[in-house]
Amino acid sequence: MVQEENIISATGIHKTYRTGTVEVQALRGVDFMVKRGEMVAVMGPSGCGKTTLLNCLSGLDSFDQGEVVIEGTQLPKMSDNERTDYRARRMGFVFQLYNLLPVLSSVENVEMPLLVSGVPSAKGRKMALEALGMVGLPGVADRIPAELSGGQRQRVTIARALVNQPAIIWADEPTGDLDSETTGEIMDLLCKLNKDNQQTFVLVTHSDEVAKRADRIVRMRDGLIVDGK
Amino acid sequence: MQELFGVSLTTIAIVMLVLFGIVAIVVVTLALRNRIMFKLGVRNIPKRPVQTALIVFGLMLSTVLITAAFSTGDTVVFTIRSLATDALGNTDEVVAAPNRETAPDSGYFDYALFDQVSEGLSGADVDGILPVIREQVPLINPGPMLSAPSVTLFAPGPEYDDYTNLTVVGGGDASLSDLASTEGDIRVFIDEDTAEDLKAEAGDQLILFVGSEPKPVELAGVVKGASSGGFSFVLMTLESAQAVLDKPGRINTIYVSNTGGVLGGAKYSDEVEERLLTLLEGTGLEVSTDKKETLEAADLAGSALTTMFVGFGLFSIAAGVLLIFLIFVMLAAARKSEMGMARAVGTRRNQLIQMFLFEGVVYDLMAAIVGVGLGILVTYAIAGVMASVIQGSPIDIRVHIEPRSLIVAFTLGILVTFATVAVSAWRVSRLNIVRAIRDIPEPVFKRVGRGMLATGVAVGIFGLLIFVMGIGAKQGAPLYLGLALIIIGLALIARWRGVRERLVFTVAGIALLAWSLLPTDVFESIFGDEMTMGIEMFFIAGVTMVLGAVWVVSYNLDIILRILVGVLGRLKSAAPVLRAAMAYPMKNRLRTGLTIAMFSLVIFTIVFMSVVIGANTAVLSDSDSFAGGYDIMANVSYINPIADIQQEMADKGFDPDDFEAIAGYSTIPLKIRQANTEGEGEEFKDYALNGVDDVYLDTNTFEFALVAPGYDSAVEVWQAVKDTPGLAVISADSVPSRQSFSVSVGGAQFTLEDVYLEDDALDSPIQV
Repeated sequence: MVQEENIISATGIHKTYRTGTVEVQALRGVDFMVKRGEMVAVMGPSGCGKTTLLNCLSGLDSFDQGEVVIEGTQLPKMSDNERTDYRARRMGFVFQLYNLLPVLSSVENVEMPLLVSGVPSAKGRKMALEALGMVGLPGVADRIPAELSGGQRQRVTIARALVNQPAIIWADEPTGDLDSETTGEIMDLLCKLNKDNQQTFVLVTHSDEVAKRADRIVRMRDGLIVDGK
Repeated sequence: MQELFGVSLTTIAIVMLVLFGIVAIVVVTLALRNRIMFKLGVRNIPKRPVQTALIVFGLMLSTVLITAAFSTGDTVVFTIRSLATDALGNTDEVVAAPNRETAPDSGYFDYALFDQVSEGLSGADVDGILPVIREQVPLINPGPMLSAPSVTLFAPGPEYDDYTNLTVVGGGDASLSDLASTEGDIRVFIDEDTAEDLKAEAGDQLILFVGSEPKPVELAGVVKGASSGGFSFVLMTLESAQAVLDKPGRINTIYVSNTGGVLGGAKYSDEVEERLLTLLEGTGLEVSTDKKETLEAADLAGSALTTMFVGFGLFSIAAGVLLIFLIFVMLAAARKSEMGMARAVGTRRNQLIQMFLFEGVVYDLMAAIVGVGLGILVTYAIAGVMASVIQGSPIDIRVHIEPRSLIVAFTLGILVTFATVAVSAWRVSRLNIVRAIRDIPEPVFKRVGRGMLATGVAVGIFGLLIFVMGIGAKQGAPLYLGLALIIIGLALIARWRGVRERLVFTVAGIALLAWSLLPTDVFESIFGDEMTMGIEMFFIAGVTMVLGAVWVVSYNLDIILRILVGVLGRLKSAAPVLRAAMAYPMKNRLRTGLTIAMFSLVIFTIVFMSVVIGANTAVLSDSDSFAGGYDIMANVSYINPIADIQQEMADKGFDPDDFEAIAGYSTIPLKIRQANTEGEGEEFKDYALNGVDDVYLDTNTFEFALVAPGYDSAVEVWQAVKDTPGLAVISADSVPSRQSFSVSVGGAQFTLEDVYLEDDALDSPIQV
């Protein structure tokens, strides 16, 4: 059930990349709202600013102008440590290239956001195993990423994103590196989690198949939202 | 007490241990509180064994150098100390007549004086006093007709047995009482070396000479542990010596042993010497504290050697620090994406720093342990080289390593690496999360913030302060470093003001190069010629020079590339390869600069050491300047002097025409002081006067460091010495230097005042 309050509220976001004398306006005054429990897909051609928007909204990157309010809190006004702690407690991330730490086992990768935010190790291990079970990988806890398939790695990444029971999950091309069958499985999983846990999902994708599973599709072009506000 | 750059090694060891303890406690606490980061850090180590081995090898270099430097210093100290302790045993002060060695018949005094001294020392920190006769005598074994030209006749009183444990070579104890005469015959012990030289065995009849008179003695045994005061000895009872030398009831030496054992007694030497001098007033005898002085000289030599090794080793340590920094920058680059993700999911910057620290500390510990082990091996190798260089001399190099030195080397290696890892980890933690996750490079042009202005101003002001301090104190090191820091500070301020990076660092680099290569005469014309400079100048100038050169090169790589392509581009196949090869270094200026700096420091050290070794070899092989043009030197004992060397050689069958020159000189120890001086200069000090013959004055090729007005050449000076009674030349060792690049150990105690080796000439002849 989708609640009506905005969990993400962004207005007038501007972001310019400067490289020497070259300036690229990645975001040119974006307004973007997402309601709690909503699954939103952000689409658009390469270079339109999708990933930049996701990074700015999630506090991974800074922006030049505008206002971002997440759960009633202005992220840019937080210190780096406060923002980091907030991410660890309230946000989950899924990226195209998995970005698992190769020296840690699956369960250790999953429990990492808990441990760095101060959750006791025994409790963290229990929650991590539950999260792995939730994504259908109860048997790979002790395997390192190199011993897993692409689909399994992405499931471990999703388990890591879910383990702290975040309010928002940011997914940047979560199926970009997977075949169509695995893509279907992953999207089934994300939609089930969205429905079961009432968690908010913001997906950046090129894929229509992925986007049409979302509650809403937002289309971007040249640093602006052109459809689906 | 050994020192490093003037600071006691014990103090350094304590400070290092405390710092190491703090670091260890902090790291262990952090690891216990943050196990996931600890796991993340250390799990990389076994996963990449080749990389781990390379990192440990790189990190251990500085520990190897520090260990070898300190351990070699310890070995030198121990070896020199052994000279004193082997020769003197428990003896701390020796009472004897001055210049006794050159006047064998004088210097004897009544045995009653020994009793007076013994009584007068009651209550002092003295645990033994011994009456002795010492003489240098020739000893002959008439059987195989072998002779030892100068052996110490050592005849102590019966108290000797209370202080000494003599052992017979081959087994069994011996004592002085074994030599008691029964039927008027003289029984003696000799040492192993003398026995070997004479091929003498117990029961042999030997002959020693007193003047030209032969005295038969019976060899009672070959012993060791005699502490005779010489390297080879013939030991007999005091009564026997008095009979042989015809000195009934007389002795010529008193040995005094202080409380505190072989080494610990030296600290009472000043106090005991003072009491002895009071007791001996009016007797004409003097007190020598050779052991204390030798022990002090040992510490000085050890400190000098350690400082020199560490001074030269600083270049390699600096290169090691750059290597460590580079290793961690590259490790970070390899794991950039993982670190970005770790940050995204909630890892704080300080946790990222901890992760690298944990990994670094494990490498660090492994490197320090291996480094100390290899450093000890290097010490043995250096000792072997030293032993081969002084082969044939009575000095026996004994490797000795103080636990204190290993503590300093181990902890210093750990702390230097830890500090470098901490700085590199801090730098690495300042990554941009998005760029890290996507593994895209940092932008080439970074905004110059106020941090650069603050750093520039701070560096510049600090540089100005120590520059002014250096001028005020006439110290070269702070002056030199100060101006270099001012240049660096100004460069950073110029960058903040928006001046282009290439222009700023090229100009600053050239300025640093010009400053570090400034000729001495230009330097002296600006700052005067009274600046004191030590071995640290090599390091400061070397690093300044390398930094300047690296800035110039790394900020002008594109120009260098264009020139290279222009020159080599004619070879069509070389051009694309060259462009590709240069593109990577140009893309990451920090890594390129660090790499160039690191290799530059290594090459700088190699070139510098080659030049030093080459210059030394050239000096030592130049017999004209080093040995005055002479090829062979021989010494004779005062007991058997040669009155006419030419005649003596002719008598021995040498043809004088086979020699270009046969010159001679005699040495007389005396006291000397500079005329018309005040304070410490008024005090007479020991000096060795060399009286040379006319042939020496006519033929030697020694040059002079400083000459008084009126002489145009060395030959003129030598002729003037020959023609003018009372005119002398003095060793350059007795002239102070404004530069403290070298430390003279055991050299002349007497030094001239108001004249320096760096002066152009003497203002006028000096009277002593």
